[in-house]
Amino acid sequence: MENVVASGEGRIGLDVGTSKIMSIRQSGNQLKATTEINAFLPLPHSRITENILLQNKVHYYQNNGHFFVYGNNAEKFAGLFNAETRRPMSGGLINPNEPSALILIKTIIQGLLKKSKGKDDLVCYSIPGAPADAPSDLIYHEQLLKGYLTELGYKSKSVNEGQAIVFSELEKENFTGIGISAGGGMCNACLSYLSVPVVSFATSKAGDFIDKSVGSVTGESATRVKMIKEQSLDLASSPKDKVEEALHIYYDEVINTLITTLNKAVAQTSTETFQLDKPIPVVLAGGTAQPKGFRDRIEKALEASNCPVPISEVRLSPNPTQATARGAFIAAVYDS
Amino acid sequence: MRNPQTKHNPAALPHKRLRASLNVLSSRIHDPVNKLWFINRTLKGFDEKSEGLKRLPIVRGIVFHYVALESLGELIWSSNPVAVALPTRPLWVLYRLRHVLLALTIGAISLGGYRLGVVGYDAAQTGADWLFTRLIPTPAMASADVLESYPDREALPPKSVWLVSSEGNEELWSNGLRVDTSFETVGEPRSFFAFPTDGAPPVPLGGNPIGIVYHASQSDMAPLAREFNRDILTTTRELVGWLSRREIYNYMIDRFGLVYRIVSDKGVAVHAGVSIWADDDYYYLNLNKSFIGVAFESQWNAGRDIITEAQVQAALNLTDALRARYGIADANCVPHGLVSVNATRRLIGYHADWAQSFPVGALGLEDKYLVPPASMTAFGFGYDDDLAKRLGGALWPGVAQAEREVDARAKEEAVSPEVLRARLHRRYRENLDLVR
Repeated sequence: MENVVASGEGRIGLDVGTSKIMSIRQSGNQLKATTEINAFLPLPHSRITENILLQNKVHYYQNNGHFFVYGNNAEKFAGLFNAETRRPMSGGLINPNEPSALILIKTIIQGLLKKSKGKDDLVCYSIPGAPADAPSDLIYHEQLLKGYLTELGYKSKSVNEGQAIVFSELEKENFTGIGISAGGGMCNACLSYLSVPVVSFATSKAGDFIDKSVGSVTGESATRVKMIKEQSLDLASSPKDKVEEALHIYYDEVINTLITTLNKAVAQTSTETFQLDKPIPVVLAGGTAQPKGFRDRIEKALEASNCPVPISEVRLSPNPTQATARGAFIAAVYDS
Repeated sequence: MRNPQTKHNPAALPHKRLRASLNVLSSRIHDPVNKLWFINRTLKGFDEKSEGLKRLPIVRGIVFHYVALESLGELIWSSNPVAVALPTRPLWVLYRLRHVLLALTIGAISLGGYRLGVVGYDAAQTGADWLFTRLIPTPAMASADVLESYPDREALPPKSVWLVSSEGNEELWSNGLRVDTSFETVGEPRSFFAFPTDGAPPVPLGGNPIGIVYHASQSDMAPLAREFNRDILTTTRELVGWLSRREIYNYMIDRFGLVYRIVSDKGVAVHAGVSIWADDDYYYLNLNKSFIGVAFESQWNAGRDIITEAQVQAALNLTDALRARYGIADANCVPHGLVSVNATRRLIGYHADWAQSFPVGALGLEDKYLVPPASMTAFGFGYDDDLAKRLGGALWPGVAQAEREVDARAKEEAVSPEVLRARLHRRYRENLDLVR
């Protein structure tokens, strides 16, 4: 990344995910990643609550008789007040059922990026694959983010999340392969050849679907399921209790949906317009891809599914949670 | 579930050969942003050229390499120069003379007609590639000792072999196998019938290969001596390029033990033609679709294939890797000469490469020369004097065993061996109809 860093002044990669928002920018000779959890916690207005927030130096937003604690502190205070956090985004896009979504996303992004100092500063931000059944949702989401970034004084450009994974992880393969980002709200994938996207798609069964489904069949809260999933889940070993058993089942459901959709999408495209010269790699990233054994399950599912394109290997990004933001940063520097 | 899908238009992607060329050039740039810039600048620059220039393959190749050269030049001699693993001096000369070269080549095509055009095209097409292929590190010279006998493998095969890294055009496997993938093509997906030996209906299979057929390339080769170094490498690369364009063999092992993947493992390569083999459970006909083809760069001569120690070691590693990856049974790793048949004359040994002296023991495999050919026992094939002559007088022991088995079965069924063979021929014809 030396050359990228050397030419990355005033360029920011922004991963706007359902569960986290991450920015990557140049800091000296290094790349610096900053993350905020994309969630908030509404707390009823009271003097005691306000004191607690002030004592802990927590940033909050006040509206309609409520305090809204957002970002990384939201989860911390959810535990403290025994409450569930809410999400400004759902299924990879702005949550239309959440009245406070717009202002909170804007606030979180503002906290991460600060105001632009140079007139040519550029932010490349990730967007999910286009939902075929509701394309206008994506246009709205994309334009809204663009508007926020413009207000902060940045030029901006969107990059497909799957494509960002390709930029970040498939440099050695000359940006040829399949990038998959398994995130909270969506799984996004992009088959790219020599950096040209050939097909990209998204599925809405991802991390949140797992948390919610496992929570509903086991009686646990989605927040607790998420915690178990992130801290101790091992898909390579047999489940130890009913929560893990349910996690295995719903992970398989996410994987099957992803691979089926991938095969369908690639089959339609490859036969019509495109022929690969040699087997291509698949690279996995995103928080949902982190549990041990996820890569193996994807590999087995691909092998069993007779994927229409030959796959050379399936590998996990060395830094799965930063891959999208890093790819967006590369796109931002390239666009200079 | 939302099931969205966006199909992009990959029309900007040029022809397969030009894409391969772009891949080679891009692999020399070791920075993601600069690499991205180079690829997109070349694709865009080529896309913007007039459609007329791209209609003729010859002109298309010249224009593409011209654009690629311009992009590289901009990258290397920009105000913020980029480190590219290339010889900058000759490239600088080529870059400075690019307009002259372009004009000369187009002039040659228009004035000199097709022949001159082809020469010009080759010169231009290979011009940029030449610089890079010169710089691709030559594999470490393995022992060039030619083997006439091959010691058996003593160690057990590894329990698992896995891909350690895949960088640029080279794969490294955990048992030391290195595979050059720069000539690799995908090939048609495997799909074939296996015929149960118990007479049950044929089973459709596909996806993974179930066996390996070992070949001799029977190609022209420069003498294996120091003074022919340049010719040795050139001949090999030309051979591999030729094989790749025609999708012949899945792998080829050159005389230094460098393994080239030509067609992907799951893709069908041309190699075994009309052929028959069997394991305990199934008969397999026309093995291109079911077996991987591995060729040794070698010449079959008077019944003896001559290969190097490095080739044997590479074949051992490759065999271990393929067997571990696809669960290929020892019984299905077989030399070409034992499977090739003449379907019209119902004769075995149509191609006789490795019909004797294949180093099965050195590859840790059971002796396939002792196995009665299924072509004889199941489908009534025979042999003629010519085969024995080509093999220096003697056939492999499995042939005699197969004859004994057919005779015994004919006796059991109270018919003459000829009548039994005629029945078996009919069975072959019926099965063949399914695989055609």
